[in-house]
Amino acid sequence: MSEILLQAKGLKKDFGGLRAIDDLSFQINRGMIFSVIGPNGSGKTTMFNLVTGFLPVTEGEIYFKGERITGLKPFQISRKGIARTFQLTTLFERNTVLDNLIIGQRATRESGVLSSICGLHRVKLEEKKALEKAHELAEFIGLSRQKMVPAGALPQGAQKQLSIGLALASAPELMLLDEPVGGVNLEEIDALIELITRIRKSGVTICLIEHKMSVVMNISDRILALNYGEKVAEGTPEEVCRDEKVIKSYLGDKYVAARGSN
Amino acid sequence: MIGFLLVAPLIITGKYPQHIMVMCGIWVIASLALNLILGYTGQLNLAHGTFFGIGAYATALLVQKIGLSFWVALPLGCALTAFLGFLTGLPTLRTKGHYFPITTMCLGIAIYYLIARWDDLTGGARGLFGLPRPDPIPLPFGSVISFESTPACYYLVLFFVLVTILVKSRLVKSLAGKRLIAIRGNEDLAQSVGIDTMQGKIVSFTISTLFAGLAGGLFSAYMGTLMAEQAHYLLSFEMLIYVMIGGIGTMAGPIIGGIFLPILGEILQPLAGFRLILFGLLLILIIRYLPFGIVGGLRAAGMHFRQRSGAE
Amino acid sequence: MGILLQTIINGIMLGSIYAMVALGLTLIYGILEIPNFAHGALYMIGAYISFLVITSLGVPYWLALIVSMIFLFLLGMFIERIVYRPLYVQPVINSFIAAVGLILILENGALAIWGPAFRRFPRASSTVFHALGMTITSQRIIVIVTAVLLIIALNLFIKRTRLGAAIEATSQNREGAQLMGINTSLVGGITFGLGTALAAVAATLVAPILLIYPTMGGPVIAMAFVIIILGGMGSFFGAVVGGYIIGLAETLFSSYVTTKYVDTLIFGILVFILAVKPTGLFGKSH
Repeated sequence: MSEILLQAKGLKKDFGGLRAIDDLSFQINRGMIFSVIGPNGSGKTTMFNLVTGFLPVTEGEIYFKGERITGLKPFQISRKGIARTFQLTTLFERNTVLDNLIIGQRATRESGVLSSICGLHRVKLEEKKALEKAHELAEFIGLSRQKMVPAGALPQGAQKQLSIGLALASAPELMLLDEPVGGVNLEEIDALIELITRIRKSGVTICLIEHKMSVVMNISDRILALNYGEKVAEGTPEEVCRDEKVIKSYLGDKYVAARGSN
Repeated sequence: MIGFLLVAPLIITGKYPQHIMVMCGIWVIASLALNLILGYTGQLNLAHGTFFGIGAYATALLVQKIGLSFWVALPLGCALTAFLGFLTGLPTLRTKGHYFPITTMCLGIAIYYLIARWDDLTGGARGLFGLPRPDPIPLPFGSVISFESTPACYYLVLFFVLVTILVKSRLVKSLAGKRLIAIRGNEDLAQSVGIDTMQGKIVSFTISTLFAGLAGGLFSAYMGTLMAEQAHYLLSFEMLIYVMIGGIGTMAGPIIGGIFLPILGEILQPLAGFRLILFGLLLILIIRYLPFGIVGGLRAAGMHFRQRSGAE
Repeated sequence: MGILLQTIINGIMLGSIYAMVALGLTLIYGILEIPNFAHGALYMIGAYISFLVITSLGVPYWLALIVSMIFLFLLGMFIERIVYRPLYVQPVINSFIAAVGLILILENGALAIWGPAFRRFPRASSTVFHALGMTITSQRIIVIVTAVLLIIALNLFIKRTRLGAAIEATSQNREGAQLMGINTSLVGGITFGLGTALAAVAATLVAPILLIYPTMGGPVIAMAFVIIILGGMGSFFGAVVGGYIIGLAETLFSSYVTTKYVDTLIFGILVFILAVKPTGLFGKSH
């Protein structure tokens, strides 16, 4: 049984009078692909925002590698080793693919201002290494031919690839992907799934939100099903897809189609 | 290019054009500074002109009231301006989006009134005058470099322009500079890759005000007189124009803007008020049709032609 | 005692002006999510238009006020359409910069036409009241009464008319309003026009008391921004209440302490409050 990487206990999130997340607890173990499913508005992205510090929790605790991360700022949580993508593809659009991959790296956020101004040799070396790493990342995510293209000019699928690459650049232990194949055509889905699997193989734990059931059933080790901000089921794909409450929450349609394709 | 700049005062004689060259140099420094916080870090600091004024007054007062030599007063003036920038940056940079320009505008107005009314310290509405030029620098073999002449001041300002360009270019090309660009691009995304956006903004703001103070200090020493107008928000607007029309977020933009627009302003001087009306109109047109200014437009045109010839 | 009362009346008068300007500003922000930086310059134009109409055409005060209101309503709609609308898709900073351009055009336009000198402005009526130890000109009373009536009228307009409901709907949820068939672009333009018309009224009302000059918009707009930031950008109530509070505070402070550093103090308070609560005291979270 691998170690517990991320643990959420009793999470609650209120927006004014609306309770978006209610008493949610779950855990993600190292090395797995953990998927979060649920109808629209069930709180999946809100849960991501709580874990990554973009929204404050109303109640509850979050632990990463045993350390309490509740209430930390997003950049602090990122530095602990958690990276994320956003539902609406978010990139540094005016910058090239290569620049995006440089910006995401640890070296960039740690490089000193004063030493840069003084033009120290050490800094030049850091820049060189960061550039090399960016090239490698571009290869890894399959964008080696678009390195100099501005991110905003890439087609949708490539943008999704880049946003995953950007998250990967910070060398995280846990990656939270919010609808990584949303709005992407069939061929691109395969490429992205293949990328995600390769990332898992390289030792990164993955947690993803996804609507496409075929994808979820295929690659997940464990699934968390939400509805109205509450946990409806948590378990292996087989367990979850047989769970009555899960079936009900989806009212059958999408779900039946996915079941058929299995 | 550099060669031309070095011999320019020898070629262009005549007090007036030389005076313009010195002033352009000062505006270039201030514009480069503004571009750092605006073009590279994405925050519109409308108190930039006020920090220019603070630097001018700080240096002037250190020389006049405390009797320090210019060469000591200038770095102190810059440090003081930067320190004030740091202090005011802390609360104001916490604001998001729209609030920051408004807050800096208010900040600028508040400090302007302070300067304009603090008669004892700043001479109030009358201002300061009789400020001396920088002390002569002794050279080996007994002669001195004196700054009484305009060309001498030109070289002084040119020196600092080059320093500013060096510092800024090193900063924006480095990894640390990429952090700032990330903050401009998307603060949330920058946070999600571990960038401490608040720290980045404060550092950028402080450096930007330091160089604004530098420009101000040079101004007060060169002009010899100083009035509260030098800390007015109108100055911030002018520098905004130089940066926007020259090209925001580029190295060359503020330089081009800081040279051509003041010259254009001088040429249009006979038009008096209409000059600024024209600038206002220009600003609106630029932001609508050419948001990346002249440099941006040239780059886009260059890429366009390259693509077309590539396709053929 | 008389002095205190007089100061308070002055404070309420100043507050009325601030409330109207801030209200216009907050209405515009609520619907377009753009802080109309050029509001102060438009306020100034409002005063000058009335001035022009009174002095060159001999039009009586109240008619001039209405003319100015209408002119600025149209000017506001024009500016929204031509300057701001193309910039909605760009980052907010660009609207600010465009506004700076507008300010330059308007302020220097006024400067070119009328010169920098402070101009005196004819009063609506010259009666002077003496009561309770105070000496008050009727103009001040007029300002307060007109302001209060206008604010109430505007509130009723928004709450009771169809157009008002459309404005309310658009400011709360633009897409939702569009889906309901509301022409949000037109509503946006109208709201902008309303906001600037309000500023014109405020300027014309106060012009006889404080002289007019091309840069009169600057301090007023800065204060208006302080007010709506503190009261909550987009909040009707916040703008009005905030306007009166600041007006009173400024007047009392000037009378009893010193006029010199009032502005510095108020902006200092703003910066301090923003440092603690970056979205303002009653901020509407957009």
